[in-house]
Amino acid sequence: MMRSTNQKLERLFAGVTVLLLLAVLAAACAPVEEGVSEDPDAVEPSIGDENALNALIAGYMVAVNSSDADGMAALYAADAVRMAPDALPIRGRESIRRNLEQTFETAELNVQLQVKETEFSGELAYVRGTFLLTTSPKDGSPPTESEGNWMRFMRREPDGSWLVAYSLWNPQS
Amino acid sequence: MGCREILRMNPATIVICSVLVLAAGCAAPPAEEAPAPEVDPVAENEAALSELAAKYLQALNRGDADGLAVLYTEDAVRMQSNSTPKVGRDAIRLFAAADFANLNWDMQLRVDETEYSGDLAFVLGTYALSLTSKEDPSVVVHQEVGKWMDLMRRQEDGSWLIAREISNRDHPLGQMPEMPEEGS
Repeated sequence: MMRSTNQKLERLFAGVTVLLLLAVLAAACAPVEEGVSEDPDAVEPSIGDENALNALIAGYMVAVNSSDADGMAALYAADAVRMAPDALPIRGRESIRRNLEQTFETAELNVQLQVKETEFSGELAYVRGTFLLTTSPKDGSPPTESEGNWMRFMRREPDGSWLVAYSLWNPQS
Repeated sequence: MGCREILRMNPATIVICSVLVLAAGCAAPPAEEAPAPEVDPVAENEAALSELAAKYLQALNRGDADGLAVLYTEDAVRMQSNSTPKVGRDAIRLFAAADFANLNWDMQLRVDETEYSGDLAFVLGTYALSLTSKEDPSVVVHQEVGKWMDLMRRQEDGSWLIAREISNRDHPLGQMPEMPEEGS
């Protein structure tokens, strides 16, 4: 069951860019996707929620890959907690923004995210996936690659948008 | 096996719940018009999650892979650093058994945030782990501190199980650090 869910999500992910455009231009007209939750009691997400979450993931990649600390920070809730490996947790959007600025001063990042699973419950959502991260230091040392897993808890804001509340990831090897 | 990763779980809720239980007990006597006892769903959830946390710590620190695995849902996903995700209760049990084979675990956990929504609990916290050799428990093989996120799912009987779990270290391998301060 999980495998089919994953495949479905991977296909969905492949279409993220298209969905993002659709969401922006005509959210109500976006194609219907089945709910991805495995819990029969879970709240069935609206199309808008699914699209908003996918747009959030897509926007995240765009911001990271263009070294856009402001754009990244804007995807986090004001009281979000970002939990990177080999570092203490960073709390709050402004702290997250400053930390990213420092990171982008020293290296260019390229991250590819894949969503494996999503579950909605009320104003919260859980998302899990994999990443492939290439870090290219600006001092000329050779790029490093890392792949692993991530989990995020998202929160729906009063205006209906979704933001990252908690984010944690780790390397697989 | 070297420095494998860890887990996490709830400890602070134990304290919180103990306080809640005590407070509830103390609040009872002075009631003038004894209202019908109300069940506080949050307190109930907290108590059930605390029970899960206690069992979790007990299983880890006794090296009980079976006892650990039953605290996860059948389809649980456990994601430790430097390791592929373990999917399903059996995979979690096998991996834990290998982890426990040669090492004694001393795990401490703290819950920093818990949010409930429907049958889910979104939880995050910190951990401190020390591994010692089974052959010579005075030999500390590895120490680390870190953070974790768990998605818990309430079962039909009201108990909670771990559905998804991920953690990472606060520091590079081999550089032992301090436990972060409360609220940091």
